[in-house]
Amino acid sequence: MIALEALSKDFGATRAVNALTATIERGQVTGFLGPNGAGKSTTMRMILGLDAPSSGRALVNSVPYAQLRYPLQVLGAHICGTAGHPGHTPRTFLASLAQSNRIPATRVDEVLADVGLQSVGAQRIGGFSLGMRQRLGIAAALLGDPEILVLDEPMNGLDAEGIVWIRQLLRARADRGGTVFVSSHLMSEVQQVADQLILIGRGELIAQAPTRELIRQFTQQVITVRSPQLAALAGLLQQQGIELNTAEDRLEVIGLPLENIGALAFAHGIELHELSVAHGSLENAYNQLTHGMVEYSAESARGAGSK
Amino acid sequence: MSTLQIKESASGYLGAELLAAARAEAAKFFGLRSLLWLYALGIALSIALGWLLGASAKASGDNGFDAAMPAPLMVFATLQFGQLFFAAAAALHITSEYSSGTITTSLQAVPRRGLLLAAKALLLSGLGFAAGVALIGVGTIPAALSAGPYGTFTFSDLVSACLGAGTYLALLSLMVLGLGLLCRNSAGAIVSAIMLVIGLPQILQLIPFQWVQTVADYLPSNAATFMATGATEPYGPAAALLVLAGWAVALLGAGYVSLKLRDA
Repeated sequence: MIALEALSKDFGATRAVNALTATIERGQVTGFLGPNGAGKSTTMRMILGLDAPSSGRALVNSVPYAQLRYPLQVLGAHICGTAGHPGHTPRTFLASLAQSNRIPATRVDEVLADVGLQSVGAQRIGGFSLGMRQRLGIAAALLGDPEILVLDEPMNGLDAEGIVWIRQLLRARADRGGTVFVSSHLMSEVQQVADQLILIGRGELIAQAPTRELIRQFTQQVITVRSPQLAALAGLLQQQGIELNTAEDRLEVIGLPLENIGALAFAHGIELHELSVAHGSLENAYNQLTHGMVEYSAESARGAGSK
Repeated sequence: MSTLQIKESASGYLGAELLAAARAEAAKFFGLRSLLWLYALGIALSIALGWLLGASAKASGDNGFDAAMPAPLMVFATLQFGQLFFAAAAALHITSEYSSGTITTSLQAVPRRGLLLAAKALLLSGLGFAAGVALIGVGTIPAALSAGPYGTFTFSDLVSACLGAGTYLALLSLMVLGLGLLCRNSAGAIVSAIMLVIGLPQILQLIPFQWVQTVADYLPSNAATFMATGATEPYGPAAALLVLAGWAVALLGAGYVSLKLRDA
């Protein structure tokens, strides 16, 4: 289990992470979602004690990471772009990590096979592609068979098959009771595998909730209706079992297309002053941060939901 | 529960953890051909130059000049150049971790920074010592052969040169490890190491004030000479060892503070 307690990090005048509080639980895959530069890597580096928090703290199984004895046996992590020295072979790289944490040397070949790199175990890392480096980084994370996995953008550079593989891997670790914390800047990468999502933007927590719940909020349309005959319209909608929020001067209708409300009002001679659609507030917040980067994923989820 | 574990690890298990971390550092060092090449070239250079110095001593001696010197000290003198190979290896061992990003992995494996530094220091000083002993031990043979009667030496000459070269290269490696942690950059660390052991002594020589010369006597490369030659002026081998150790403690200490306080 990982606990973030009001974790903050300043780089000069820039606040990269601002009072982030969240819990990453056992037995679940927790997706860590946010646009590039949102503070995901910085947060992960603070969990690992690589960067010191400006305030707050990050705890791994209730202690700071640096107090773990042979930490690779407790928490395996892969931080983007840091898999080995180009002059080393994967075997040397993994064997040195194994020695430092008293992990049996036999694990080196096991994890190389797990990630599909056994045939290149004696080649130098310098010649590896991005995808191979990602796999090597994941091998290093798995080396100590840790209960906790922290992976920073592990799907970067992986092909379609690799992405399926890593989803299965994350799922299997979580199902065995492990803690899995995986970051991504794309909703589409994590929504299929994450049970829980932590959304951040500009270093701040936007939401932490089950994935299903967040996707519902993302794809939900809220229709605002203004009418002098509000009560009559609300009655009609309630008869059909439609979810609504009533405010003083307007109705917010959830889960019914705009056209249907218009038609219903027209059929009953109800005068309308406003009939407008707004997407979920969460989606708006995230879209503003990502400049529409997530739009495709939200669109496809919406399309799938209406069928 | 967790407090108890921490207390135990702080005392009883620290040695085991240090040993594990040092073995990992050794695996990293021996896994890099470039570092092995630097060590091999450093040793080869000392052996070759020792032979050359021996031949030169013989030629001078045969022509009536007094150039006799114990053969082990001829080999020691070659370290003026050869030391750079060992310094470069010590610098690269740490700075290549920063350039390749593997320092993050190293600190994940050994998050206590003092422990990681102790492991690196243990490895580099051990290798430096072994290289110093080896290059004197092996290099004395060709130097003695080429110098003939002008290179005669006693067993104690050989031992003090071996220990002197080993100790110097061990402490030099620690100084450069400290510089590497301060610079985090290969070029910066190597240039500052060259300045420390070669540049500064030569620059200070050009300054015609007595006190500057006195300061120059305390630079690492000069202290190393006083240590290995068993000098009495300006200070003896024991004081020279203290001077070298002082440099190593100061630079490694500064490197430790940098490693401890800065984000990786």
